[in-house]
Amino acid sequence: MAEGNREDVPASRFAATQGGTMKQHRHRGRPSGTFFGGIARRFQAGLLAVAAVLAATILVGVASVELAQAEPTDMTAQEPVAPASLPDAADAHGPLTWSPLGFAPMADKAYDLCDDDAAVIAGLDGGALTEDRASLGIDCTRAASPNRFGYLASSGALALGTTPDDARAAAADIGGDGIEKPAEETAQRMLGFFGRGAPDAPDVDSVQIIPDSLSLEDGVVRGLVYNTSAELFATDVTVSVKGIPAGVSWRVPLTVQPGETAPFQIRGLGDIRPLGVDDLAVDSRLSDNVDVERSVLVTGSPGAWYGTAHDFPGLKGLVAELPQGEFEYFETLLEVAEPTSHPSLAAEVRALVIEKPTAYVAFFDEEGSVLGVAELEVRKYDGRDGTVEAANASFGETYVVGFIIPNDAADFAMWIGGSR
Amino acid sequence: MSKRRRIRSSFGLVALLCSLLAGTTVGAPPAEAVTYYHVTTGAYNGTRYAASAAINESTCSGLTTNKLAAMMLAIPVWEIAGGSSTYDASPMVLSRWDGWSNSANHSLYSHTEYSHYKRAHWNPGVGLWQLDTWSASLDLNHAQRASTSTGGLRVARYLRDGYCAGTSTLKARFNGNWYACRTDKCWNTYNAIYHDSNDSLYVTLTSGTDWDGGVQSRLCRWGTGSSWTCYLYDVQLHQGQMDMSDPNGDGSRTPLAIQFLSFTTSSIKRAVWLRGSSGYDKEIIKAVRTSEGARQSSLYDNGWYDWTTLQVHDCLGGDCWWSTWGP
Repeated sequence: MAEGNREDVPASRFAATQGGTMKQHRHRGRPSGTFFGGIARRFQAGLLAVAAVLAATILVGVASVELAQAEPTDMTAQEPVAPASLPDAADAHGPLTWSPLGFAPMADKAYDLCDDDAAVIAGLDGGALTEDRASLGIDCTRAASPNRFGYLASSGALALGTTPDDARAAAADIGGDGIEKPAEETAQRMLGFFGRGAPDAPDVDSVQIIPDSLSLEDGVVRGLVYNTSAELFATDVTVSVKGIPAGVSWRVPLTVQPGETAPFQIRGLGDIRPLGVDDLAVDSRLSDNVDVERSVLVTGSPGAWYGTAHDFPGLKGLVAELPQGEFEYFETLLEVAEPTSHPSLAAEVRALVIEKPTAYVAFFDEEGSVLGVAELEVRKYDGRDGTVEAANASFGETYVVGFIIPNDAADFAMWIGGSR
Repeated sequence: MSKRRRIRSSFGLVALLCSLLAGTTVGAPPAEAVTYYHVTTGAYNGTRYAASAAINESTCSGLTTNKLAAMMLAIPVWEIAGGSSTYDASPMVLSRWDGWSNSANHSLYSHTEYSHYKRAHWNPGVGLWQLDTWSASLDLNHAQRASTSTGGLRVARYLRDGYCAGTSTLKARFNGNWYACRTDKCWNTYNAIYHDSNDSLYVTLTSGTDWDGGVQSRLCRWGTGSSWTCYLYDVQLHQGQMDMSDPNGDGSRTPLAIQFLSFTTSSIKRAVWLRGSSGYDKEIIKAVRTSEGARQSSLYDNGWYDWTTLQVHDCLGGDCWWSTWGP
């Protein structure tokens, strides 16, 4: 396969972080620290994985289509994707994210808890300030009262001290709580994505395949590519099998954000032997062009249901064929959202029209291997009567996707944006 | 004792005074018949605070504090009160219907088991707006979700932006984000309790002045380290009404959490049941990242673990002390 065009930063043609052999689906035990391991969410992985693969492709209804085999791609003739936006100095140089804390007034500031307004912002009960202060040992008649100042740390704790500096120091000290603590995380959410985050990005400007994500089933290879760059967006990401004629490849239809993964599945392998990551190649373009069509917020509601078809009060016609017996259904609302990480792009997002809003869902087994990939049409949602309709996506409207989770899937992740 | 009243005031001391002046009617009664929905005084004041704060951040033509507060207060009428005008929902309301039969809810049960320490339960939907998996409030702990000013601010921003985007968007946000609001029920209630002609919000204020419905502030610390504010979430102290039946969840409801401490440190939401207050034979902690929902928690063996050196500071009659055994 020929080298793909690069804009300004060369992407490594293929870089596997480790060797390995592509997994054959089988029943597996508890997770073992792999990418999506540790999830063990809802299902026992007792059924044959082939059933899960079938379910992933059959149970996703009218709003989804089985992913077609990518057309043969001439990697030498591609032009840079347009339109594109460039971040400015005020923007974070990373993926598009949205954070409710980004709008919080007076965050990361010491408050005088004897000031009513400040106390309320810091989290005290505006209807019980006297009681709250008493509980906290604050005596507002004393300038140097213990705990008079509160420092609202971005981690969520309101640390207290006699002076603002004391409160700041207390906030720094709270981390040493003597129990196991995970790495710091924030309430930021990557736009255009829902699910488990990628592993820590090594900040290498490349697009790689995650070895543990690979699976081979019935002549279809599935897995995740991973943009390990901390700042650059990847477009025209194409995964192909080495030594196979052109056409046996998969072009990722969405821009892959910095530090983000994306699913792929390549059909037509026939009875080819199990493969490892060394048998696959990845081509891509990396640039600092920001694809604002990924600026879609998953609002996370109404959420997931489990039960029989009779139990679902409001299926919106997003799934044409409901399975017999109990099944799990996931539905969520979506909105085009201004990225708080990129304030300079807010106006562009508000004027945005995504002509082909699409969601791609990957289903995983307990070890993080991709069991199936589905393409879902994002539909506009009319809340008055719950009806949905195909439409472009734009700011200020509400959209919805829904799908059935295959019985053998231990988890899933979803990518949303303008499909190219 | 409660009084019907027409509220027409800007947020601030006036509103607070209104809430204190029980029995006082502000302004003339409306010309047409109005159904007065009951709201605790604290929920009302906290909601109006949140509405005012959201408008101060950003607004559009025609949006007022009363109007936005009316939108917010219309939601619990259906989400919690089932349309009743006399049910003054407590901001401390905890969801009771995320049952065991749905395997996705297993991690809400103590140690992911059905039968032990049942009331060390993570009720996922909290407060007037039953904040659960909604992205805009996912990072908030139980106490923050109960707070009509903190959790309410997230709701206020959402409805503010919906209103400013147009009627269809506002309706979609009502109907889409709160299932009980579907078929425009919350939209209709909003229009019933708010009159645009005179910017008036009609509700009946009931007793209970806490904005968070009875959650209490405490000081917590690990061992002898620095202290921070934590919150005693004791449903026995609730102001306003909430479903307290079948607290062990032996019937169709889920267990109702027995008193626990709610707080966030290191970007982890926690609920801590101290043995001195829970009556259990050990301390139990549920930990959920602020970026996760409780059903997906992957911390500490699905979010549950035992043992803590957490100490709680309490004061009574001027005496204060640290205790390991319970708030």
